Amino acid sequence: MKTCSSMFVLVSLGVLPALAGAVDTSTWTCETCPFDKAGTTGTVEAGVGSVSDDSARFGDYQGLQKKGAFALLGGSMRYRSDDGRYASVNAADLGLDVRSLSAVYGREGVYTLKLGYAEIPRSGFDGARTPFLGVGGASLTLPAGYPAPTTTAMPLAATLQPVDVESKRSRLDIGAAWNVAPEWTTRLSVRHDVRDGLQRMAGSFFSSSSHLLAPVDQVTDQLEASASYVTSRLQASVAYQASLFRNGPDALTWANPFTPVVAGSTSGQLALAPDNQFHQLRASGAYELTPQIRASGDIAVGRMTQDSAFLAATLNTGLAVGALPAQSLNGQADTFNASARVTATLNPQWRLNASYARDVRDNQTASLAFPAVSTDMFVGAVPRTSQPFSFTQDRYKFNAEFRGPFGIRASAGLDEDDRERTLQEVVTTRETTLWARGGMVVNENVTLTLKGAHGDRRSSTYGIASWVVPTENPLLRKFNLAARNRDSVGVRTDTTVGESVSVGLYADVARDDYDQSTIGLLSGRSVAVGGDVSAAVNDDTQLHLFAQTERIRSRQAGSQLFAQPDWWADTHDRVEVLGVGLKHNALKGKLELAADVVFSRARSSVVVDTTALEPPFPSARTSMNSLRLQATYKLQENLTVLGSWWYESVSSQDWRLDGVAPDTVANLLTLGDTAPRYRVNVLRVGVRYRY
Amino acid sequence: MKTRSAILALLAFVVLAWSGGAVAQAASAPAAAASAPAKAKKFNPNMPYSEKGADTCLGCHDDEADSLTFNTAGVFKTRHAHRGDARGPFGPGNLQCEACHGPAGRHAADGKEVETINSLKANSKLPVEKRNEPCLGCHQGNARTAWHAGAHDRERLACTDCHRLHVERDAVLTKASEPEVCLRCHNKQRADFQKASSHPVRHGRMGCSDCHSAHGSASASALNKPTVNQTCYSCHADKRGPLLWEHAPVAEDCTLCHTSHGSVRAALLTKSPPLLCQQCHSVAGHPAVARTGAALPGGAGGGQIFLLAGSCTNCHSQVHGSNHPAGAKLMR
Repeated sequence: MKTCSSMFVLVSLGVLPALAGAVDTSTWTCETCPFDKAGTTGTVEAGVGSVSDDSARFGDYQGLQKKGAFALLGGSMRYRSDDGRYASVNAADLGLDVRSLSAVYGREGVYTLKLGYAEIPRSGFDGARTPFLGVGGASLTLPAGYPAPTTTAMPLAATLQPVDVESKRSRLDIGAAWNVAPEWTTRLSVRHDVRDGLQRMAGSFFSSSSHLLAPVDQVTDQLEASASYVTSRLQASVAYQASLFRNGPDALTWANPFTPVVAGSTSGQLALAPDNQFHQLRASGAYELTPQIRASGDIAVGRMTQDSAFLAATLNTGLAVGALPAQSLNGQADTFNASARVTATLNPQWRLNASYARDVRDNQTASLAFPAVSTDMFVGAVPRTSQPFSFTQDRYKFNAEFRGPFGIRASAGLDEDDRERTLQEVVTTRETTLWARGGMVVNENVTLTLKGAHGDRRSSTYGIASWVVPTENPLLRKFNLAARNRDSVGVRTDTTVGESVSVGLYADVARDDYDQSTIGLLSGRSVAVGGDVSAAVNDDTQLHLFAQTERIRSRQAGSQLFAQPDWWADTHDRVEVLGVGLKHNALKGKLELAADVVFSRARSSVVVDTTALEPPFPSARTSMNSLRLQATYKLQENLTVLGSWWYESVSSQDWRLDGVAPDTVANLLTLGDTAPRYRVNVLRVGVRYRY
Repeated sequence: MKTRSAILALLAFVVLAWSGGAVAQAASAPAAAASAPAKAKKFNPNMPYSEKGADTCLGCHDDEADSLTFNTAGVFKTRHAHRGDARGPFGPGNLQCEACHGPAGRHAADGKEVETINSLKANSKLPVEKRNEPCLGCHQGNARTAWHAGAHDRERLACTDCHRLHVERDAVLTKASEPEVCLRCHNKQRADFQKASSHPVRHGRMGCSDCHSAHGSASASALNKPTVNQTCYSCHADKRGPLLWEHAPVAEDCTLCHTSHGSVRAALLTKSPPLLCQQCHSVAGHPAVARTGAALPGGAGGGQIFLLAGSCTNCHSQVHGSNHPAGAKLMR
């Protein structure tokens, strides 16, 4: 067992040099200490809640998508023994699809056992409808009346069925830690993650397409085992991690609702995520070379594999398709991650830091040539060859920190990010960033921090990926490969007024300039200004306020004629967020009140300039208002009444979705879902009993 | 190569500079103490301990001294006050309150002379290194292996800037309440989580520590895993592959198309298609065509399938890659 008495701690730190042994605690009986008595205590919460309206969007992540009543059920349990054993159980939202449960049992300093379960529901689409039958399965069929040449000719009025596009993630976590010896600890954790439900996909036949609902039936099992060794100067650990992903169906087959343009293209098949595995060995360590120099490092070697059987290249038996080059991918991508860091404190004022990191994804999968089948309709003459991408990233950092009088602190550094890629237009990029930060205590209550950075990314020759047909416009510069200048500045000031009020104000500006790009992303800019205030109004009342306004702009260019740029697009996002929180204790602590209000406004504008007179896009807008009021009233020492009201409204306009019904676009059968709009009230009333 | 050489030279400089610094160090006060404000010098670990330990402390720090945010007796609900733990402050023969707050003999005698103990409070005049000493003496685990090179250390954060010791459940150790602690400083992320599309942090279903290691890590942004993608695959293993037809930016870095904290666009996208896709795709034909308001419902232009609903993903729905033999264009 790790013996680490307080005395030992302070002595080891030099805090109690000669005096430590002289402290006689034999008379420190702690008679007035309100220790928890050995035994079990806990709480039980029960009550009822009500949701005023249906809204898939509101219910996303919350399990509150359906109108109606729900049960409030939760609680906690604590157990303590006199010999160091302990246990706790916490349960929340057991009456909803966001239920969670966690439990811990252990003996202080010896072992810990953990158990956890949680559900996270997703429900993001309001108003979704589909004519497909068999939703939830691996094969979607159509009722009578299909196929038809266009959506307007389809019998949608009679065949569209509302559908809840929902999924849920359920997680079971089991963990254990055992302090084998004073310096040794071993840990084991296992996670079983199940995700099921529906997800939106789309399948096309040449120029017509349908939005589809694919089944989600995924299981991910993760295991991590580690052993660590710790002394006052050395920390080291080794770990093994495995992640096994399994998917139920390997494909979604759907009937083509559009009249086939090519004979035989009556159904298609989409590949669903294939089973895959990831295994990784990791080691990490840190060592205090001297009290002034500390070094640490990590190394991890991993392998991703995937070998699910290939689907057929087409379901169209009328197409003459050559044989596949293999029955499965036998895919393998090796990962290597390593880093080293050293920090040296030269003197009370100066500290130097240096680090290096390398991340490699080495895709060992064979490059194979496949018949060029396009949407179950055509077969190209030239096979298509797969491109297993590999990446190597090296990061170097060096910086110096200075701490001076009057609270002055400054740091400056040089970062370099080198990347090497395979099978892309650019082989290498190198980004060098110079940065500096400075701060000072303006007076006893005010601190000021400034920061700035300039980054310059240059690449090797930007070529043409001729192995991909058709090729991109030679003037295109993909933004992650292109030359770029990146500048950012920021300022923050924090002010405290006594011990009760703190005010923080900040502004951040960033600018990207792709100075050698003609087509593609040309520039980006963001500005964020905000602040927060925390105030203890009095001993019983706390206030918190935050606000931010943000502008994000970008400009890009394209060429419709596969030549010089002939159109430009400007995107401009404006976001305002304001939040206020209040907590208040009344009636001598018997009544606790809390209120949280958040207002969020977002507007996104897109202007596309083709030099011709084209209709503009309306702005996309989202407005969210949220108010939560909570109250707890202590009826008795062990009985508390709980109540809350949550109101949230969202109003949004999005031209991508608004007015796009399943039959709006002749060659696109959509789900007809709409931009989020809701106004929902949630009431909760319950009691908490403490035992 | 120039940069590598420069860094090697700088590393050599570090070692050389340290050897000089170490001499200076030996002759001077400890680094942190020397830069501490004058008031902090009142704290002296060689001062006497209190007469009765915690009983002395609780004589003054009773219910009357509590506030809305601080409850002295709350520490007795925590693991730190487990008498059965021989390592803990309240274990047999240990120093109780003074194990963390330091010798309190003078504090007990002088009453309000707060600076004579380690209050561990955010407004403490003690240098951070001194505030942290009692914590780090016991908590030596691997979680802080990379602390010395992380942003939180650079900002000189104290353990108690994030952790609360006198509450039954430390907010930063509970998923639902953890973000409130982090977002006190990370204000921009607080606003991001209020955007229309975000990870479920404001819903209490995810904590910052699901992706980030607050005590530092080997990766950029103190991620739990070595890279962004490995971090994302922790929950999104279906995107991991390797797949037959890969989409290069997907395999390289999820954040090339997605923002991690919040976006005004669905699926945490940095930009909506088709413009998102047209930043990197400009082949002759439909990918290069400018889509304007003419393609809106009721408009005179065509090409609505390229603009509305899922835009490019109306057909190229397998943007994360495909394992279908005919999925080269990410349409199967």
